[in-house]
Amino acid sequence: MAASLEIFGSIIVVVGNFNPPIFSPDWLERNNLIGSADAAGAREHKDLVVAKIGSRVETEWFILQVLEQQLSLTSKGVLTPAIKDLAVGIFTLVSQTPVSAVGLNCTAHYKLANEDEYHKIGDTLVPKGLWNKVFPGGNQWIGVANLNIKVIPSKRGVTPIPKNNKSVMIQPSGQVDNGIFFAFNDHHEIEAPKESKSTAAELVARVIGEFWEPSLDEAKRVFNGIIGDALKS
Amino acid sequence: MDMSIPLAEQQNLALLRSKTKTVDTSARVMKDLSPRVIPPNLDEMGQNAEGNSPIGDLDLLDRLGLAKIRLPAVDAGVLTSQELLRMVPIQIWEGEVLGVDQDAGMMQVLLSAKMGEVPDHTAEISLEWVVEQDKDLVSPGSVFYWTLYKEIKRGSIINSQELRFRRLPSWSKNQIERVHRAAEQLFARINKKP
Repeated sequence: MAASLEIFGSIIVVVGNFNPPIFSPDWLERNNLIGSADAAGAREHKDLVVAKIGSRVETEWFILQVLEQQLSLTSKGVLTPAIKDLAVGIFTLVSQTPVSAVGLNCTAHYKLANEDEYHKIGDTLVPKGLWNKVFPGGNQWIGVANLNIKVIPSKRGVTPIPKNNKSVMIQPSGQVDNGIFFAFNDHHEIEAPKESKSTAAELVARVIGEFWEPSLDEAKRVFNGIIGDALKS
Repeated sequence: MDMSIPLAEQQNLALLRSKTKTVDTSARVMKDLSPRVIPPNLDEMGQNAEGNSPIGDLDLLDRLGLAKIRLPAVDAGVLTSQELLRMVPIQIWEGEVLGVDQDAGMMQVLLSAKMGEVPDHTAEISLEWVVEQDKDLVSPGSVFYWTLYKEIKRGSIINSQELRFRRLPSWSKNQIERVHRAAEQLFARINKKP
């Protein structure tokens, strides 16, 4: 039986120098980024914070958290491209904000049919032969707690190393029984060329608009590829 | 003797490395990294009892344990609400409104599937599916997302749908300035004598 996708989300993270208190439900509504009902819900939300040191706005479909050096937009509920539009809208509006990088993150929890299949994923990703040799005795349980894989778009040893990269993190799921948690990070460094008319924030908006969906598709392909291959072996 | 590096130290080291080498835009989902935006001794505006704000005072930030909020981190709390998060899209259509018949309470739309190889097709959707806050967005040319999804709740699966209109932001100051500059250049060119 194939693994079933149980939880799926997106988190857009931007590194820069932000002014957190401007990111309020009123500001989002005034600039037509969210509707009146979403704004009212956000204003009444128990976790609303609009402060000099950080803001947190939560609606039924996203959580926006802005600190002085990081903005993160997390999907909530069912994931739709509306989250991408919101991010593009925000960075179109704060076009003079200095930003240096954007990460398009995708998270997923897959449920495996049973414990054997669950362990098969970990054993395929990290074969235990070596570990059983260095921890002999056979009375220990060796398992994957956290695996991080970096994908650099150039050959090994080639310099300079490209700044844009991708990474995949794999952990046992804390949410789903016999589940695997995946996180995919598509990292883009942002530097507006001096001759460019666009600001760095506008480039962020463009990167999000252009790459959010392909990035999500790639993440799904990678997650399904890992599970499919592991279960076949 | 326990020679392992305490978890907090590991995180500090990892974050120090990420600070010195490159910026980190990954979604950190480990609970330990979730930031507390407002510490208990500060009010909602980030000020203490004396009305002073610790912004800019890095030592004070450290003493308050506020340095954490500067780290690239995502509130892991949002990932713990299983009921809200156990929703997986089955199909997402991007729709464009072709026409609206208010009397019949219908909109004619063109639907393009976002998942799988499904050809575009036209359809009629009842306006009752449009939430109140999006009603003023329903006009020819406007774009929406129609999502069919499965919701896993206490072991049972419920199929549901959501219709959300795309919202375009107001024009930014930069965009307006650019339009002004372009208009001025055009005006100057028109007025230029041959």
